Amino acid sequence: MEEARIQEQAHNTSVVEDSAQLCTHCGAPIQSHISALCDNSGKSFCCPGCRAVYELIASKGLSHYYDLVRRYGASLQPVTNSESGTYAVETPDASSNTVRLRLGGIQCASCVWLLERLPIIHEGVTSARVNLTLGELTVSFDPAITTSQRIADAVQQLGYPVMRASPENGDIKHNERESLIQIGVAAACSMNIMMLAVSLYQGEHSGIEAHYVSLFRWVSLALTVPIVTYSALPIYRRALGALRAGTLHIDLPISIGIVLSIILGTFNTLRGAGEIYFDSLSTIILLLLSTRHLQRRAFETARNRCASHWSLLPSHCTEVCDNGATRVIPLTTMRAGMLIQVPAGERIPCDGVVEGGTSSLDCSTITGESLPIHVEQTYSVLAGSLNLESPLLIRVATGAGNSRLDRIISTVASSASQPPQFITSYDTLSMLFTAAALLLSVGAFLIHLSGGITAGANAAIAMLTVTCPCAVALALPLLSMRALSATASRGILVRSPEAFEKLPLVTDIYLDKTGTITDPKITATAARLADHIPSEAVALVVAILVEVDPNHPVSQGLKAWLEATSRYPAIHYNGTTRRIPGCGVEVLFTGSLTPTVSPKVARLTSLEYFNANRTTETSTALLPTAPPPWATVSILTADNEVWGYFELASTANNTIKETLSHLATKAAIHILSGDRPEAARHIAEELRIDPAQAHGGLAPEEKAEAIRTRRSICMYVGDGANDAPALAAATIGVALRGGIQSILESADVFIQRGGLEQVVTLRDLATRYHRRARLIIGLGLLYNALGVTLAFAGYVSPLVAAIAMPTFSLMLVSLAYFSLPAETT
Amino acid sequence: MDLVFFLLPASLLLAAIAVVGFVWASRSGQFDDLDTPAHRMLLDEEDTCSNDKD
Repeated sequence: MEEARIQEQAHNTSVVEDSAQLCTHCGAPIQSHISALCDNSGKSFCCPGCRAVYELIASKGLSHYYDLVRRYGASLQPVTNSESGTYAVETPDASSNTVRLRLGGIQCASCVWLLERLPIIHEGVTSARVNLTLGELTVSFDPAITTSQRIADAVQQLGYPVMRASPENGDIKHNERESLIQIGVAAACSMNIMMLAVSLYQGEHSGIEAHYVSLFRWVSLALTVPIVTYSALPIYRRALGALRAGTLHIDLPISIGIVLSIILGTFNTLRGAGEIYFDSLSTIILLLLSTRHLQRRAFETARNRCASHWSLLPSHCTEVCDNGATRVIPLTTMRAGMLIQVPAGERIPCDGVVEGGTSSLDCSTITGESLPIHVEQTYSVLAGSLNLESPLLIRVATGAGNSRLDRIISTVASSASQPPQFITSYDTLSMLFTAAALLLSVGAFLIHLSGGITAGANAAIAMLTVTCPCAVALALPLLSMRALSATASRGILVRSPEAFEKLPLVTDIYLDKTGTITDPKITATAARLADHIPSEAVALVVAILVEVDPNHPVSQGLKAWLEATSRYPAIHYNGTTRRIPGCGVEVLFTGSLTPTVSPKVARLTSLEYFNANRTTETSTALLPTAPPPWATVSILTADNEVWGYFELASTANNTIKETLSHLATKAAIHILSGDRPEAARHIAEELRIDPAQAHGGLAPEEKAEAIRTRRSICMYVGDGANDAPALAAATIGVALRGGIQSILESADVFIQRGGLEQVVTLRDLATRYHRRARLIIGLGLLYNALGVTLAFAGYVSPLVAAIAMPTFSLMLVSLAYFSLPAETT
Repeated sequence: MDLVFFLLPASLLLAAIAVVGFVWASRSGQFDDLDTPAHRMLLDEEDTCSNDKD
């Protein structure tokens, strides 16, 4: 059977100065304890990735890029381990092929400049065009010279991760263009109709010859035809669609109004007498179409920014063949029964069973468990967990696309994949109200019937035109668009207007624990050092041991402790280090540590290992009688003496405490965590939340179940893959940055910047949205009540309607537009 | 004032030409991306010889 492999590293590090150097490429400060990588000209970089990109850019003569970045750019994000899939959508186009890639990290003009120079950088590319809003790169290339996969790799090497492109883009672009043309036609025609209408009204006032009246009326009719038959098509389509679905939509009464007006107007034009309402008709269609277009664009932009398709799974994996050779295969060809190798630092691509190797896994994004889990032969593992320590040989249990992670994401994605509905609760209200207006116009018709059919008809049209649904059809959608931009500028992306409406009504807030209210990294909450050892020696030993396994959460926690309490020491020692699998790390010294202190061996281990291996003389004075169950204990020993005792746990920071106490005044707070129940309760106590409301050890489906059984208007805030079902189950699901972004399909709100405190900002904006919406509806009702009364009394002529309706619409639209200012940072 | 029988169709013809132009521009994708050209405009072109702005 496999023996545990011991890795030894001869370690003779030279002294590294503690300096505040910045990486030449990405501008991030270079960690002092990682030796800075220098090239021949003395420039330093924070990682091999940055150096590689710099060399690539310089070799193509594109160093101008760095000047641009200094002038325009936001700071670059350093290239991290790329975990994204590189699937691209290909649209063959005559002799050359075109591929559209959605990229992450495109932030500014210098990115545009660099990416559009792709023809210089990569052979075979004929043109490259960036769309800054969508973060999309459209590349034309010669398929004989290069492939879309190689182009994607080249772009990725420049530092722009490629995300899965969504396939629906073609249709949307076509519809966008069509709607723009419809607006253009409507605008051209209605402006001319208004010009003629001015002449007609002036003529009514001061006299006009009959043949000119006839000409103008006929031309107005002719101009109305394109609007009513072409531009208004989306309105009819939506009305009919709603009818077929058995629901009511505001476009239904609007369509009826349009049809009636055009019929009666034509009739009156033929007759040569009576009122025509073409000017009001065309104006309202134009206003409707343009505000809807604006709103749709705003939602599309927000949705595109949200819908990044990062995957937790790598795009390739290493298969171990029967003869022992390894080869790299794309993830899509991975099948059950294969044997694959997963190196340390990479994510496991499948559900499976470990057949060789011993390591520990970080499953926090999958299960919420904040501590690493030890695995060895016969243990089963889940797709998406991060392998921390050493390579593992895994027998694949589920093929590509079938792992538990894939299933969670796909069930949630399918239920949330409907396009955003623009129907809000205000629409229902407005539609009821407009139906009432229709009835009123019928009433007006009947009342004035005594003066003849045309008198009745004129009264009916007057009623229809005056009672415009401008408040709800125009102003409210515009208001929700403004609310969307206001939140987006603050780093909060809202996917549905429902979130705004329901937010102030939320009675329960459910929070995930790891990463949401606690730091995803664990930190040292308690540290006790032996007082007879100089603290520099202790710090030095910890620094050495921490570097043996730097990815391990305990190592990172202790590194943070070192940085917080003392200056991180310069590492200088002679010795060899090794990992004790599943238990800790060890260093064997061949020289002396410091002039005064020279232990032979030092270890940083778990409590269990310490208890199993200590001798009777080892004093346990530093250890507490009962170590807390919710924390990880790490013990530093040297030559059988205890030098240090550390408790590590994930903690909440002060901003969280303030935010939560603020939120607690508005709603009941619960914690739903995948981590151990003791850890959940401990955090609850720390944050002054009722521990009975903190539940731990929950699987993703159990979290969703807990939310559903309570059946209240609630909000769930989370950031890991294990939060996806809960996000979909809650009334409003809020996804935080820093977690897996493919759960965004299930979230209503995505917080891109900042943490939990953005929820307070969001709630505040939602309350202002409500207030303004109520004002708009109130004014709309008032105007319509007035208009209806006047129309019944017969005081409303087409001139009155033509002036009142656009003026009032414009007033309401301004109220909506000049609200909720975006943050100008 | 009989001139209006000529002027009216003439102005409508002009409007029609404008609409046709708009339809062409829209269909050839000129209105698809209104933000990036604003950034692109600020970048210097070193490939061409006309470097008249700094």
